[in-house]
Amino acid sequence: MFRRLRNFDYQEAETVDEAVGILYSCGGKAAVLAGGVGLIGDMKRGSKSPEVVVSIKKISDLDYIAKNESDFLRIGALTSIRTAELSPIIRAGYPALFDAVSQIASVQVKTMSTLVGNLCVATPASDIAPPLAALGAQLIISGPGKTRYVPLEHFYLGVGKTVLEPGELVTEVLVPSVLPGTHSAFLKIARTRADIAKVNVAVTIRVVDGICQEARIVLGSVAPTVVRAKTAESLILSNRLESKVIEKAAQAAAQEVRPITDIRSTEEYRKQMVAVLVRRALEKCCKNSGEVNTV
Amino acid sequence: MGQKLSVVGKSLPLKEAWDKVTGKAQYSTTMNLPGMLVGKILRSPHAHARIVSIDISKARALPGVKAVVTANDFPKKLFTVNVMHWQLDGGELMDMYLFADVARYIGDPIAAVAAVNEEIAKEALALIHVEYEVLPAVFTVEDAVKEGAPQIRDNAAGNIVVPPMSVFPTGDMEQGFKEADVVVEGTYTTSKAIQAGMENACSIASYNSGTGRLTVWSQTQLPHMARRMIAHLFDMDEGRVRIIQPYAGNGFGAGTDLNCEPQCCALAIKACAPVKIMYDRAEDFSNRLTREHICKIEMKIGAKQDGTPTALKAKYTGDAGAYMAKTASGAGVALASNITCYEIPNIYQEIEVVYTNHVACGAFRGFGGMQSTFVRETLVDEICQKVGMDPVEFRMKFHRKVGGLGWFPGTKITSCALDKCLEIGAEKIGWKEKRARKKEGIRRKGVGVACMGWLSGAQPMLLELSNALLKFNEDGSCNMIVTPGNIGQGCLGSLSQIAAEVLGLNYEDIHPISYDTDLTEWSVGTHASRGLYCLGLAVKKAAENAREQFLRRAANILKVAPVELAMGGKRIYVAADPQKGISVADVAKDAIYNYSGNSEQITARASITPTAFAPPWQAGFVDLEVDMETGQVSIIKWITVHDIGKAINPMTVEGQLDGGTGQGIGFALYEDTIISTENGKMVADGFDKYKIPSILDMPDNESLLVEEEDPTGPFGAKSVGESGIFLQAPAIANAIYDAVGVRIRDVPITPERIMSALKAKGQ
Amino acid sequence: MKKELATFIVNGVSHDVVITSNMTLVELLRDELNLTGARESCGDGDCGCCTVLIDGKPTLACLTLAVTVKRKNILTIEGLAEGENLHPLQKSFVEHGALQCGYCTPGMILSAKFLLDENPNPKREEVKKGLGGNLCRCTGYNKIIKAVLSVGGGGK
Repeated sequence: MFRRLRNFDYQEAETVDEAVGILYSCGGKAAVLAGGVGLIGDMKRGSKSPEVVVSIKKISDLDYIAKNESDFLRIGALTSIRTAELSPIIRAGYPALFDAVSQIASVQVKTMSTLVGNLCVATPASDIAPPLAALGAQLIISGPGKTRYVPLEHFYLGVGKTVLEPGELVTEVLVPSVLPGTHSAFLKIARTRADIAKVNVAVTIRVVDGICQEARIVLGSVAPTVVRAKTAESLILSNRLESKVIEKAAQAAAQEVRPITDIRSTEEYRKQMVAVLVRRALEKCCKNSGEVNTV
Repeated sequence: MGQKLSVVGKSLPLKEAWDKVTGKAQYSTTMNLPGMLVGKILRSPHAHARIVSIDISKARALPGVKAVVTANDFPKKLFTVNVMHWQLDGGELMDMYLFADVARYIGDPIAAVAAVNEEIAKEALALIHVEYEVLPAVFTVEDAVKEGAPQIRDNAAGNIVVPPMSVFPTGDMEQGFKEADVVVEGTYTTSKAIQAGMENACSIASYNSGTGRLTVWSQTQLPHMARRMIAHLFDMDEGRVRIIQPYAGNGFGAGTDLNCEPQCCALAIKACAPVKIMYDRAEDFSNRLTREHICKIEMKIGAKQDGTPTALKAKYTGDAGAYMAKTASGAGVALASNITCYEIPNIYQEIEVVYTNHVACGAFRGFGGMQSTFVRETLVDEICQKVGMDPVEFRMKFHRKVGGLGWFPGTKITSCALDKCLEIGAEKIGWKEKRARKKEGIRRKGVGVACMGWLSGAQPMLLELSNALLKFNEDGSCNMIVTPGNIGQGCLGSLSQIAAEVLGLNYEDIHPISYDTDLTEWSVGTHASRGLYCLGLAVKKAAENAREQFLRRAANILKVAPVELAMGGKRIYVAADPQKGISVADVAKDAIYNYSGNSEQITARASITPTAFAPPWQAGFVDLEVDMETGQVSIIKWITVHDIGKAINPMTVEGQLDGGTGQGIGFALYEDTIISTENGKMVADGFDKYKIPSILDMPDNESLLVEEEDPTGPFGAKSVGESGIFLQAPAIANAIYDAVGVRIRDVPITPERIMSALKAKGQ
Repeated sequence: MKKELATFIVNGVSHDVVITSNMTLVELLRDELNLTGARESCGDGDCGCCTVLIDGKPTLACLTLAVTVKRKNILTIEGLAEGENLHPLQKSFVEHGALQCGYCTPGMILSAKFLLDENPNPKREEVKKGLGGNLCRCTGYNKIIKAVLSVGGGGK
């Protein structure tokens, strides 16, 4: 009687190769169905109208969180956000990612949605992309006859746009091993607990003998894609993380973004909050590392 | 007073709780009828456009389409979706048509189709070809009143739908402000809120061409008046229209206006088959009438150095949207209800309302009082600050008392336990200690208070007729036939408790019948916090009438005088000799199956139009923290203390207050009905954009009751239906000032606004 | 439009239904099986009114294609009570006044069931976290929390 969705051809892939084959032959007119929260919602709204929906749910062995022999973290494409939240590996070793997944309000959405699915929707406000990008994550993408590795921070071209070509399927998120002295933090500001971020920020630093050797400051919701605040990073690299250094970096980060004014917030507020959140995230990392910030 | 009660005062579950927890409860959205068609409305994509022509031929020819209706199919009849029109002597302007001849907002219904399924209905809509003459439109009050602005209606010069109108002025403004030692004033804005119940708008209609009767399954809160409006629209006699109310998953005032019933009925008549129109969320948020129109208030309060208020002056501006609906009554209630709270001898309030080209306004819990309460309660705090008086002390000293002026000329306050409410709340929140807290650091805490007196039914401004009919079954149980408009508020349960108490029966012995205008006697329904108070009086009176009948019949059987008898524990017995008695069931059965020529079914009815003004009073307290770097407000604790008179069902009363707290916090901090000022489109068309509090957003909060029986209410009860929602915004605004020293005069109080205010203050 | 005869196991009962690919699970339950406890309200994952348990996991039926849950164990609110005997959560909701209009109640109860299945004695904050995906406009959530804590053992 009441049907919200238009008609489409539904297919099920049982292997990655099969999925790739279907996607390739549809030439961009197919959409991948994993969790479905994003895709089905878009199809109801009419913002996506794929002729073919390819379910990858039946592809066994895409649901995993594991470490490989080089201590890299591997998250399979069908791993749900809830699985990530409950994973002792992530909770213990990747606190920023843990904070990001656990703050998502809906248990149902966390259960149904996959991390990879969330990344592929390519919304600038993804809570998953910033912490993974701050961890230096790469995506393993299977295509017709080839596999390629794309750093997450280079995966996005714009709102809703990724580098995926027709026929390509993200199969894994690969996170490099966490070296000693690494600390990360994720912070988000939204209207309510169950809202898309006004600003979200993920920071990873590696401090050795009090000096910051590595830094990734990733900003979300303040540009069409996630942004690496490179200027801000350069201000803390090779420095002690003293309060005034952190403050300078935070202010610099606020200049590296082009936020908009929309129903959730204003350009001015978002810029201000970039500075506040970057500062607080860095302070949180310092606190966790035992570093004391001096004035 | 201390009444000895067996059923009243107990926290008993909702009558329909079992249906609802098992998923068996039927709502209009979950119902299907045999042969039912799916209806869909074609809506104007333009905010202002004349309909030049409509070609439905292709739509009509599509297989599976059973009816296509346009303005050409029915006589052109002015009506309004605001069924409260009938409740006001003289009504309010009817300025709508079944299908617009001139579209006045994005979404105005232009045509409708009924088809065998939704897919075909959508396809048919797309095949209707409409030629529009797009007209210039205005989306803000400022633009609407400008010289040369496009005229939205012929009858409203300058787009002014309610020219400046004062409501119940008292005293002398000039003198009042002359006597003042301090004067505070400000300009405030509030966002219109969306009722946002979980059930989308939906109605089902079925027309029997043999009997000429039209049945409508509706989410209306006011079924008898809805019936009359639909009859009026289709030029039918009222008796030919039947409104059935399945459970409704929406309300809070949304059901005081029709939504898709008119178009649904039109399709059902044309198609000669039942038709169901069901909105999706975007259509619901974009086309339901929102909270009432008041969006700007300029208020000024004067007081003496010792705090004594001397004068209040206010100018309200309303943005009505495209249609009148309940603009005038909303204006009246908003201004009048602002009179109740404080002993201010000189009050002058004026309102002006303007048409604009966006969705019209209806009613939401706290109808008009929300906005005036926000302004009044924050300005009162400014007075307190200026004269150096504690805000709780001020309220205790200067609120109106019993016998004082109510909201409407001639009404007198029947009871007031506000002092108790303030005392309890202040103690619970730790008012004195928290006020004295040092405010330093990035995160600063503050406490705030607000109070109000509302109403129990809108008498005498609105017709408040309530009828109750009790019919006794042979087992002594009672069918209680009343029309509260069941939106889950627990009214039927509480009314059952009243009946059971009077009759000495158990809660389970009262069967509420409420959902069908063919069965129930005329009653307003539910709004204006009238359900328990007005209907409770009717049910109590009917039960007392029934009791007398029972006593008379029992006296006859027992061969005693009625005055010797008592009724309790499902029995009627000689008070002095309780063993001697008869069960209620036996009397009821004997009444019907009486073979000695004295047979009847015991029924009792009562018709009540309450006249008293029994305001429930309330104090609200908040303890919160402001993060001065982000402007975010974190509520540590919220306390509502409510003067209920008598809690017929404490659990139900608390539930109403708890729910009000959720909506009040949403109104205060998160909910923003954003209508584009570029094109008039409702931007907040889903829960992703319009943020109501989730369980994670709710702070630790308590709803406490003060029971000092009101002399006029049933068992001393006053209302609670709307009361829970008023005080969060002003108390929060006051607490923010206490914490960080800025006054936010715009609702929702967002972090962006707080940061701007802090910046302006130089922090 | 391609039609398919598919088997669905709902509340322990097997149903053979002709479906099309574009049918969501909530539409199947409502239109084909007359199970209307799960309701489409927001339609895009914000409200939780369509929550059902699939193989024990909380799932939004309005965002699930029916074709993807063939032969899985689907539990709706209608399957929770055993005949006349309400599930403890249902009983608790009734007794604590944890519902008013009732529209969100089926989804809320099923989410609470999932919470208690994983964590039989949750603390207050854990109850809130477990119900973060279920909106209620009527109750303000207080009595819902109370009802769930009461079944759980209070979180002590």
